[in-house]
Amino acid sequence: MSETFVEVERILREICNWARALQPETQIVADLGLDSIGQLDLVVALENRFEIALELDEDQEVITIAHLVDWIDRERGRAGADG
Amino acid sequence: MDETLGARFAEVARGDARIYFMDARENERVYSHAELFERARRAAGGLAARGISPGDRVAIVAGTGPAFFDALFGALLAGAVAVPLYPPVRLGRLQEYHARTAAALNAARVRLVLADARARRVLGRAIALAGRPLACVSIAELGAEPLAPREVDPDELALVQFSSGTTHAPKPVALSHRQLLANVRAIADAIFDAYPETEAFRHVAVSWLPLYHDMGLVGGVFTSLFHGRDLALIPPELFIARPALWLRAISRHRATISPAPNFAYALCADRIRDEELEGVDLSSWKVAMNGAEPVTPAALERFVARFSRNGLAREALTPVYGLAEAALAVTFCALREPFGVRHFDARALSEQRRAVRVERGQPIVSLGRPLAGFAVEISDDRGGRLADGELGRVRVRGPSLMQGYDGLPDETRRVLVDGWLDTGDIGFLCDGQLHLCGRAKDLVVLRGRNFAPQDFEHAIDDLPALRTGCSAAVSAPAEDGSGEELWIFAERARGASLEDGAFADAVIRRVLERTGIRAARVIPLAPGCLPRTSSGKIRRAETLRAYRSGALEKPAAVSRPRLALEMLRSEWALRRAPH
Repeated sequence: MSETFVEVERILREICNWARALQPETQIVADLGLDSIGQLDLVVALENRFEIALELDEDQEVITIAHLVDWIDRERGRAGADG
Repeated sequence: MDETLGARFAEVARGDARIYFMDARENERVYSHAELFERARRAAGGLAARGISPGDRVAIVAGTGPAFFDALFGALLAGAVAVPLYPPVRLGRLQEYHARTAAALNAARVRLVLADARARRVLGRAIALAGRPLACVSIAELGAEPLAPREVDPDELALVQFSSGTTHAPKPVALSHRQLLANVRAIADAIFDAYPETEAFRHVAVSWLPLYHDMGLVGGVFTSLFHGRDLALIPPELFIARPALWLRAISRHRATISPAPNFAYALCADRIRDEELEGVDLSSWKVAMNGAEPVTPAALERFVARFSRNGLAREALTPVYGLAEAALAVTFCALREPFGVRHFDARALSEQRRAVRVERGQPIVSLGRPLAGFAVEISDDRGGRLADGELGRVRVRGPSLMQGYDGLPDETRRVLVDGWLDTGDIGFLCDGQLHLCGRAKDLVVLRGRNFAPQDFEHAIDDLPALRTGCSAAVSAPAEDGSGEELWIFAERARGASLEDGAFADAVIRRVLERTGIRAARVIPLAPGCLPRTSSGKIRRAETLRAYRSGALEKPAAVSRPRLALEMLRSEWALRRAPH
């Protein structure tokens, strides 16, 4: 598991009070029951932890944890390139 | 006073007041009113250069930050009508956001969209969906030669505000300069009268409310801005993620005024940890407005109990009532007095529609008296005035009632009658003070936000376990008193055999995916149980009422032929009723 995945898992557990293991295919909204307030919580926590700005693109869908991890890695890569 | 928002801004820009914008690290960037005014003039120049004429509708999609002000006041100084819209969702899928935004763009007949960097990335689809000739411009790229502010009649529209962000029949509330300023003046007068300024004491406000929401824009921003007073703004997502930021900002700025919806007070009491409030002193906070959704005794009491140790005065908590259709505020509780909770006999309320005071009964928070220049009446269904203590429809009158629902004359005529606005809320007067206890209009209010029930009902419409078009979404009081939550009633499809738990899970999951809201309760019903009008429309308020009095579980004592008739009626309604 990548470092990003481990961190995302940790943050999700805290926000959702989740005890079980999380898989890449786990759906953030449907499986973890994260509502719009929880989603805001999550995005802000991730932005703070990884020091990036998470911006959705036009047709992007961030449904699963795998999507989330990819998104974060892309933004980190972008931030690293500019930094 | 014959003023416009732009002229008022020009005037206060000559003073020395400032706006502070907070970021995620709790750092604040400060802009003087003068600076923001200059920026707005440039934005107005940019709009004029792009062909925006007085009266044109300009949508604004931006988070809390200077760019929002550039766009809003740029539009106003160019003589255009500002239409603030919801910014994009941060996670999940954008489909519903595109549909909602497109619907709003069309309903308000928007000509140009001004977007901040984040929104700019995702608005293309929404604009294509709207199918009208529309351009989208980045606010940062607007800047041009400053425009000399265009003359506008105060009775012209300044703002079109959506009272709920919905795909289904969005209702654009159209407000003129005069109407908005009348409300701002009424709020400020109430505050300044109760707490007059002195040499040593000037009012300062803090707000985390979204700027595309009436309480955030009219209450949070306009009230301070148009009176030349300092204001500190926190993006709403930062408050949600770290509620302590709000109270820390109030302490740091020695703020006297800060508004919030009821759920926020409960959220703070529950989530903020003591260590986050070290050194925080809330004694400067004189007016903590609580409105935008039903005010609950529990949220008020928990907040006071938790934060009085930080110097919070009980008298600061000020329940208020208002609605976008009246610009914002209609009633305020007496500012120097503690909030009042009265107990009423629950059965008399629900069965006789009378408010009878008792020692211990159903507690209802007083929402106070009308602001100066406003009047509140309780009326029956035919518009006849009811006496104190009688339950009925809440009607209001005053100088800030909307022009109307933009482009919807029939809808407007339904609520604006002889200078009175039918709010759709149910309540009564006790000791001349407004008390609410229900809603006649089909509106779902959650965490201070309004939702159209159709948005939830449509989200589950194609679930195989449900009968299409046979569900009702309502908001109902949560048991812990923190506010209202979403309940969904849904009829099972014939022959479907999903047991109750799996049925509820499927509904909750689908609603969460499509709307971001988690339903707190799902009530599966046998086919034909939802009460309908004679033309087949589902009666949502009646559904809730019947459920709460235990009359909804089965089609009670309905004979077979009668049940068949009910089912036929609802099938027919499905084919005919518009959604």
